[in-house]
Amino acid sequence: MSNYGNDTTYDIVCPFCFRRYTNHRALFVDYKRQTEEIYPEYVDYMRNFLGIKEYSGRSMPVLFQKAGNNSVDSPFAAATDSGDIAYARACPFCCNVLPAGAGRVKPFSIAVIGADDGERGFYIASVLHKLNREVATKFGGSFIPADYKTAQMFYAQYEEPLYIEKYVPEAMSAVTPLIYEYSKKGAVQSEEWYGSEVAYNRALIYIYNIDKDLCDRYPMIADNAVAQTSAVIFLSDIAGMAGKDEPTNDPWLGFLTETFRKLFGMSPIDRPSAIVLTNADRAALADRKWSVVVKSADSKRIEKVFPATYYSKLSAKITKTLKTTLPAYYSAVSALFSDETSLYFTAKTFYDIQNDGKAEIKDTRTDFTSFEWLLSKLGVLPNDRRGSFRMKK
Amino acid sequence: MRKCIFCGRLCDPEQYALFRLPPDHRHIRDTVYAGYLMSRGIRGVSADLPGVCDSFSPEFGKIEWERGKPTLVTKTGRSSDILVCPSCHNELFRDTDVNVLTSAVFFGAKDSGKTSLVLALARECITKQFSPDEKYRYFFNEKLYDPNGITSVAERVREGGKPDDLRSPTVIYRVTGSSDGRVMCDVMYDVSVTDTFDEQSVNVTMPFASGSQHFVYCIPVDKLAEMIVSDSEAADIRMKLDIYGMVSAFRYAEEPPVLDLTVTKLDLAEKLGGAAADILRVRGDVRTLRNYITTAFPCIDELGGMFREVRIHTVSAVAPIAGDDEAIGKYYCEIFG
Repeated sequence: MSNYGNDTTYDIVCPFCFRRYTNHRALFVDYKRQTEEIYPEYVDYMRNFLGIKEYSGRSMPVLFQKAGNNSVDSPFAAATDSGDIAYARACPFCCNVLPAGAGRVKPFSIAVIGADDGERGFYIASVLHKLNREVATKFGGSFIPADYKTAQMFYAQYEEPLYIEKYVPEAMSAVTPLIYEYSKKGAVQSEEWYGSEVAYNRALIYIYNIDKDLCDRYPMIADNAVAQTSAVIFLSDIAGMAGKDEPTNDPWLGFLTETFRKLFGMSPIDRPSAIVLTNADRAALADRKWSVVVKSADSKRIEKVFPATYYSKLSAKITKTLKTTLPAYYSAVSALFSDETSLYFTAKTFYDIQNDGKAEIKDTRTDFTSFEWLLSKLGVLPNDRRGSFRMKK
Repeated sequence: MRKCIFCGRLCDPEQYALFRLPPDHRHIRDTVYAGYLMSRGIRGVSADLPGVCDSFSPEFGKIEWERGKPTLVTKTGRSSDILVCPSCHNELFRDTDVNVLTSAVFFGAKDSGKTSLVLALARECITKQFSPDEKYRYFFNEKLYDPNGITSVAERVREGGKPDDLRSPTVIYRVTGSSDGRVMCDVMYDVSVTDTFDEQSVNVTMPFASGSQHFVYCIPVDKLAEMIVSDSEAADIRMKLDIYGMVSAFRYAEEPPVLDLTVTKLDLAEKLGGAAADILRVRGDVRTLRNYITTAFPCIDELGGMFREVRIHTVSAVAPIAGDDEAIGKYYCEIFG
């Protein structure tokens, strides 16, 4: 199981204020003592990230720095003034409570961007709803919320609307990411090296849903999430582009291009990027050239194996189709996403909206493969070159 | 090293001992104890108590040890052997050393039968001294709950009444029948849905959960049967969130607990028929029962890896099943060993 067995430390990246720092700088939370004092760091976070200029405060648990003579040896625990042991920790720069794995495992972030709010919300809901089961059965690991807040947020904003109420999750302007934790069953060390390649047996994954409302109302969060992301999922409605080969039709392409150019100049995004072309089945109806690509997304094959070379071949077919059907769009996308680090995926229509506003979910067997591929590029899941553990049949 | 059964703090009286002054000492408001009562939502209990005394207090005289038991002797010559936990000021009971203490947290949705189950176990201990293999003698801790009160509430539950949550722990001591008479302490915690409202609630109201060896998740047989035949994922998603709330309670523990999935209200199964009757029929076959449950609730496989082990049990708190009067005792032994 994922309870941590050793005291190896990693740098912490705060999922809320994006600051990176060494483990020992994290503050400990003494839940048994409350303070009416308003921590200035928290006020700054509220002002800079959430745009709250006046903050009157509420009582908070006491946060404290572990002193050198603290009686507890572990870098992840500290004795409080009353002699209890505190394990929960908070960011020293924004005072938000960190996930349990902070400092213990490697953190990554994934920015999910593109398409409309419904499609993006559906993608996140569908992938994360199924991913733990997939990771458990295919890889012998677990992929679950790293904290209760994420579990509750995912339930309230994604699972309940989609799977219980049958409504597509719309924009929620989430100022905090969904924080997930991956762990490989039975692994003792957080990472293992295979020559020059590393495999992470445990990792934290921060998933940011970059929607328009977040960008408009909380630009500090949106910009930082995109700029500092470890990987990108870019959703693009290919059926919406069909017959109109104008990259400006995709506003998210423009936003991503502008943000990255501003920060990193003209180089393409060098982080693993999954470009998911949605509604590919509808595109195939409009243009038969797409049918080859849609047919080749064989869900049975994906279920049984996880070969990176298979996806590379599929991606090559997709890019060939794009070059012939939407050359201007392809040119804009490929200028942004490097060939070496990105891969194209197609997805069939996620849902249809019925007369009563509810969503009829269509077949989406391929949606989580793009996410799994991305995790493999980060070294969290295996690719087919590493024989470190085998796929379960 | 003793463990406070109220807040989970480890205490070593040899290193630091805090005593409750004798009952005739002046009563003052114990704010620490009041904080504990508030965190557990316990009402109607006074926090006006004799003060506490440690070696730094003005009343302190000396500590006398006799057969491993410390007694405070004050400057004025009065004595007290009531040790209290430095964190919550509840009594530190004897025989709560970490190596003899086993605790189980009972949780589940509203009306899942968790309180009734704890009451049934307590009642069985009080009235029948349950011990299917006669390995132990059982003693109910009467300082926390009045045995007559427990049995009368348990009787009302048998007649269809709904009990209030048990906000204090329920403690049963097991003494081995051998000549050394080793004592073990079993503690049951009844968790209300409000205790897992958010992460802060979990940390504040259930600090004892972090070190518990067993997390007993109660699913009533009617709900389980409904899910087996249903296409809806709603109950599975809801259960996932319930279990996840408890996972966050032991995120920092050295060793994850065992998840004891318990199908409750089994007495209703025959009357309900259908899938419920099937559950009743296969209850002795753990593998088939497990398949039934994981088919209905795939989240158990998803989250099962978070626990040391997942075990499945079936029980009725109000009536023996198939004439087995010792079923409750057997269930107790399945949990606590």
